[in-house]
Amino acid sequence: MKPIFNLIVLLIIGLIFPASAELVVIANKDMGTEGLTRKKVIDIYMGRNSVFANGKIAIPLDQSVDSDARSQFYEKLVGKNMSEINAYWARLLFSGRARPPRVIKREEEIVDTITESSSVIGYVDSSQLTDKVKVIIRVE
Amino acid sequence: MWNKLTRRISIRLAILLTIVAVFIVAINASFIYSRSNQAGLIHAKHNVQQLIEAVRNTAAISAYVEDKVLGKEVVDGLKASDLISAVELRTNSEILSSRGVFEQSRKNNWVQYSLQSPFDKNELIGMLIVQTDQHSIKTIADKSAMEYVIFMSLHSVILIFAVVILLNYQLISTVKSIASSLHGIILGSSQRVHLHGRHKNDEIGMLASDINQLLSSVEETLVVERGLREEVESLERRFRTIFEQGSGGIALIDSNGFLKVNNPSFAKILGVDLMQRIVSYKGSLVDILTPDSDSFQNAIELALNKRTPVSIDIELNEQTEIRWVHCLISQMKNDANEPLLEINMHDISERRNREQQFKIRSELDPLTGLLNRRAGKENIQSLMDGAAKASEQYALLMIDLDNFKPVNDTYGHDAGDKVLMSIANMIKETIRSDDLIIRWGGDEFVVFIKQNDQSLDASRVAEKLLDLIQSSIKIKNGESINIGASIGIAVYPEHGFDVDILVQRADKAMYQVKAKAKNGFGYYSSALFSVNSD
Repeated sequence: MKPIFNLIVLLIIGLIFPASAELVVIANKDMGTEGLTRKKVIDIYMGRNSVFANGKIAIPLDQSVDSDARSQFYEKLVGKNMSEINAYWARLLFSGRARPPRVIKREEEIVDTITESSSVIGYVDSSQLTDKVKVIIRVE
Repeated sequence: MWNKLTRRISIRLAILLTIVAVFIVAINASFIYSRSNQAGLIHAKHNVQQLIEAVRNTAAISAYVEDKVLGKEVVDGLKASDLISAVELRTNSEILSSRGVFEQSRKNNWVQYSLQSPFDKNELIGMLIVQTDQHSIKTIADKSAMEYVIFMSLHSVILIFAVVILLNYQLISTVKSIASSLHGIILGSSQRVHLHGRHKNDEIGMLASDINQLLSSVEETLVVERGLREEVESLERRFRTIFEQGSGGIALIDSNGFLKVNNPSFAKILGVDLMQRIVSYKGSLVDILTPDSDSFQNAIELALNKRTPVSIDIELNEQTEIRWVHCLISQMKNDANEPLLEINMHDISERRNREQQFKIRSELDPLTGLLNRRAGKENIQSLMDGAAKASEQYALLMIDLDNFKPVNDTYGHDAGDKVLMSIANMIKETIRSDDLIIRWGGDEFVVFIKQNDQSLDASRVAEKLLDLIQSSIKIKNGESINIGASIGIAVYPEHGFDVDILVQRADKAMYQVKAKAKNGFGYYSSALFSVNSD
């Protein structure tokens, strides 16, 4: 019942919102993503914790600085605009303890990178999804 | 020194103002200090709060990513403040950074600030613990409060100085100049207080002009009084002269007769002996002044009771010769309103002696030295007045010489006078000294004698007289003559109460004797008439 229900919900959502508007956080298909909650995703992206539940290091990938996806991503994930995010990183840059995620300029490249490496995660438009990656969370 | 200083108004005022100011400043200062201190503490707390707020986000971020370097940065930043003595930044699991020593004893001063996740306000990710430096906060607050107090005090001191200087300039210096000007002025002189023009129209000007008016009126009064005093002094001198050098004796005695005061003339009139007695005598002056002290006492009492002066002539005691004084006694009051008597005394001895002489001269017959008719009648009358009370008897003998006219005619008036004188002496020798002998007329004599034993005395005297007169009387050139006398007798009160009647009846009896036989005597009788003749 449950998968069908989920499917119906997804369908309804898909009808209401255009497919391109939905951002999803993805990881390698082989990646153990148990317990990788939204909060965990935030922690990874904001430099707090980059370790998966299985102990592997998770490396977040960011989209290009001027992309809509990026600003949408942070807006939706942590409720901050880009200048706030930049200021956040500026403070942390000084110590060197945490670094902002690496930037991959093209969305396809992100998917490719994830496909190739099991320790990276990234966010892309849901339209970019392949069967080589899996969705960790949907950023809404 | 201190007294001298405080005698000056400006210094005293400054001291008073300073005391008041110190009092006010002290009250103000304690109030301001506590207010300011409190404000300082609140301010410090606020400052700490602000400091924390400034680093709170960064602290939250450092806690979020567990960035010790950033955490240290935050902690160091906070610790740099004087207000904070210890800081600790911790995540939920570990201490990120810590500076300073947290003392359990100062737990009250610990402030905890929770740190939320920068991305989830609901998630607490750590805390910032701060120990405020109360000592430092207090020191700062104290310092600022003290500065304020010092500022206020300085402010007050400057104000006091300004007030004192202005007061001194506006008021005290002027009042002082008036005071010193007034101090130098001699009362009654024409000097006046001077005032600068600045104060002409204000209260000080009024004060100065009032003082000047007062000085003017004092001067006028003094001039008038000086004149009056001179007048009084000259009067006093005159009165003193009158009192001391006047010929009249003046003395004041009190109502008990004690001598209070006397002038030199009084002592002179009384004489040294009497004056000494009076001075050393403890009783009333009246007792020793005069032999007739009763009359004098009466006069004094009269003067005391009556308001009009009483005059009396008295004889003085203790004198070498008889001396009389005239006294005018009048009552007066002393300052205590007690009655005093003034005795004004004049020596009238000379006048009195002269009067006495006159009296004697007017009463006596110049030839025989016997009483003349007028004086004789008076004396008889007064004896009779006395006799009426004492029921005494008197006899009046009217003696008329027989054959006297031929003596005058034959031997002249000198011989006649000599005869009269001889007969007068005979009569004097015959009768008692207290009986009266009067030359009644040319060759008439009256003898007035007191009868002890009915009419016997008169008869004996008459017989004796007739006997004597009959004997020969020597006249000039060894010649002598013989004359006789006829005597008529009237008896008081048997033959009359009045001198004239008694004389008239004795006369009648004498004429009857003369008409009958001469050289005899006879009593008056209205019916019977008897003649005894030798």
